[in-house]
Amino acid sequence: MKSPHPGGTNRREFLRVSLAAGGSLALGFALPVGAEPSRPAGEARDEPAAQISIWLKVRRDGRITFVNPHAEMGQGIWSSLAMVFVDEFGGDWATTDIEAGGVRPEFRLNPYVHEVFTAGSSSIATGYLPVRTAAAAAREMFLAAGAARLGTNAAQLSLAQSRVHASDGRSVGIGELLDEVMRLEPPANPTLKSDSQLQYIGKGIVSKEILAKVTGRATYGIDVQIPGMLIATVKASPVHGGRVVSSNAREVGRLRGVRAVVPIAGGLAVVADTFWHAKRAADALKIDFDPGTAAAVSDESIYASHQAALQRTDGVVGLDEGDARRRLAQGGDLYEAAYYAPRLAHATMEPMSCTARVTADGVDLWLGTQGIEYVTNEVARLVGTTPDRVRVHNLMLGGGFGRRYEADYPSQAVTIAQALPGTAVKLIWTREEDMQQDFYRPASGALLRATLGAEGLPKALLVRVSAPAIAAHNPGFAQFSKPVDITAIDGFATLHYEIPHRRFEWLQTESHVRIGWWRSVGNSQNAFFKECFIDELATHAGADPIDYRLRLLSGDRHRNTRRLLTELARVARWGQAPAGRYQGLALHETFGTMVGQIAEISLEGGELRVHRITAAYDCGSIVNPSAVEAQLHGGMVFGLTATLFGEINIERGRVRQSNFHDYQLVRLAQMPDIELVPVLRGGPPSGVGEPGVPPVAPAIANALFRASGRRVRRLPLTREGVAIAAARG
Amino acid sequence: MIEISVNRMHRRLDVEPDTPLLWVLREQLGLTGTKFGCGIGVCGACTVHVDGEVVRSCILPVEAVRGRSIVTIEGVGADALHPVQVSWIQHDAPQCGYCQSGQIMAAVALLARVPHPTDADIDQAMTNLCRCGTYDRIRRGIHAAAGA
Repeated sequence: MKSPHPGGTNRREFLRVSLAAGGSLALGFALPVGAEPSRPAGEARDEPAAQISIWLKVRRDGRITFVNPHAEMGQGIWSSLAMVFVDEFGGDWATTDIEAGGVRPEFRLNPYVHEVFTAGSSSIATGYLPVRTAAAAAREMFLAAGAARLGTNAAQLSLAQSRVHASDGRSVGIGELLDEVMRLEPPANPTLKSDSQLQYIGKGIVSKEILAKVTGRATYGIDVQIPGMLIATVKASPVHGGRVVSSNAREVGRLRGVRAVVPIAGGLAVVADTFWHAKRAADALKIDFDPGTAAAVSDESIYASHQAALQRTDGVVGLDEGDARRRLAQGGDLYEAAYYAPRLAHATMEPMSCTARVTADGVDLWLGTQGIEYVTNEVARLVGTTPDRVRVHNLMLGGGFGRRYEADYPSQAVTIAQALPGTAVKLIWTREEDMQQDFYRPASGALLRATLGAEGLPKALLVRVSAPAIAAHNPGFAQFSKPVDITAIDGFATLHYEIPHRRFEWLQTESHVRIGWWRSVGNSQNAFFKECFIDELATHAGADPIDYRLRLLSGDRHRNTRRLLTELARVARWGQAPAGRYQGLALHETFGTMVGQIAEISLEGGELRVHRITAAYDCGSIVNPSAVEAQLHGGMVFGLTATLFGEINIERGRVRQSNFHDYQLVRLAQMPDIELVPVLRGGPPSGVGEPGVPPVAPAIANALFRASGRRVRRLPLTREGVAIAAARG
Repeated sequence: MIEISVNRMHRRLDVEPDTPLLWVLREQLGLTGTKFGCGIGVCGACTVHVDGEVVRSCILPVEAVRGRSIVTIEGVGADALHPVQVSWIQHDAPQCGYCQSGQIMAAVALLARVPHPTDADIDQAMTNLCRCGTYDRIRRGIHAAAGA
């Protein structure tokens, strides 16, 4: 069995890497090259480790293990949170291991969602202070134990590099203090280090997992190897909600290498000795599906249902400030526009995969999951056992973006494994299955209407959104679906513009295809609706889009946002684009992090090129600069793909797209220059995994208007007949 | 029996000849560093070298590489990290990392062919998909490795 995460280092092997050579980690660290990703967690050293707290284990040799409750899917939390702990504690990074935390009540860090999970750009936002506090408490315990050992006052001691140091030069390793520390009560109110005492926070560190990732040794869900395991792949009804009527399963069961054909919810699984045998057999399956009532659903029918919903006046009111309805009814200078955003797939690079084994002892699962507690509970329910008998071994995720929160693929794997008790079965989805059985970002529509007052500024605003209830589909989040689904109102509930009278109405639509959490969720389309509309109002008023927004951001509470916009305009050289280039602006707050973006495009030869996007961001403070930049940057690329190409079409109830040839992603050759500008308010950090996504679409659409005079109110741009240049030019 | 060389080791394989090289590497030889992404040769996660050339192993039947020399991500940094791998670490290039084996194989082959590639060379050679969007660090990583 392979370890949940690559961790651990071999101190005999070090490679000196000068990080000042490039990159944003301008630090010189000794990089351990002997990481052994295949070593099972908990067996890293012969000696058992003392569990100091839920976060920390220490061995007699002084080696420490940070217990991380979060899944690593590229956002860097695996090492970032460990780094926070080690810095506050005074640990030695080189002799620190990281271990997956599993499901424990103490790891329910989110104050609103009472489960262990990794999503919502919340890991640093909700974990930073608890982890620092726990690290400070552990430090004070070791200092107290060290004081007794060295016969001095704890105030005279410091903890650095996993050793307690006295001012007279004596020191003792933390591993030598375990007996004393285990007898101590943790302090109730430990004192955090001052900023000047911090070594890594705000600067960064070489991540523990990077070596495994560049040498192919990192273990993702799809890579796990269990002795004697079989491989499965599935074919589910192409119309979600359909069921199997009949099939040639018996015939396929006789094909080479095939061990079983197993019914799963809405489809069949083929279990074989190798993936290729399973795949070939699955291709040979002829299944007669009853598609159910959704077989008539198409993009056109869905679009029409949104258009109809937006005409209704009986939506659920999510926000009603001032006297918006009456003022809008009075008429005057009215401006109105309607927008539409399509269904989108996550398309993680690693297709869904999960290995399951069902024995008398319960269930073992090996996979990468963002929703470890949700998956545990769903699987327990499925097999009729208690959650403590479901052991989830969380591995590296080959991309998450919200998709790997869901419990469908683990449930399938368990259903298949139940048919082969005692045998581990690795389920690997084909890309086609992954593309067609996603939990999609649903299509949604919006109608925005404003009455304009002095200087063309909105006095009253109506936002009417037609969208399904995403939050309702997971038990941990269903509380946020009433009265208004939180994802429908994302970005409007906390609207940052000063508009005295405003009203939000939600028209709930249905989706027969499964819907879910797609990086930045409702913000991903609501920013497009809102920021295009504000841009239209600015144009209508004959105002500069920056000035117009600044006027809507008067007052003290918007000081930071004004500063961010002003700084963004300066760095992006707003209004000074070279000949033939056009700029567009968008501003949106996602999960507590404000991001403003200016896109610079050209339309040479009728082809749209995005040359440059400048993004100013305010995430409070920065814990790990390289990770923050990578996440914002990556979020913008995610947004760019959606803006230019992203669309999942429905025909006869089925998803039309099947692979990357018809669900395009931005490639390296199409990348604009991206510049990131921190404009920080200070204080605790907010998340950065998602906030880079939402402003991209409106910034580019607004730039396109400046370039062509054409307002695109529906995404993606390719659908609207905009040709996209294949290379940067 | 099909005989191939993988990371300079001679291998005799009892597999059906139409099995894609990707699955032979991953399942028969346990070399899971080479990834499955699309199965149609579009995304590049499965990129390996065959006689020094970049190929997408998910659509390459193993019989097509009979007697040929294959290098995977596990072979690239076997003795000491390749400059591309060092550069990837220096630039903190991977995010989820799933596509990076393929990206690194493509970059290593590019630098073997064009020691000092221009941006245009990189645009043309680096067609592998990355959903995390690490392209900028990949580009900078290649330039830095070329200068090393």
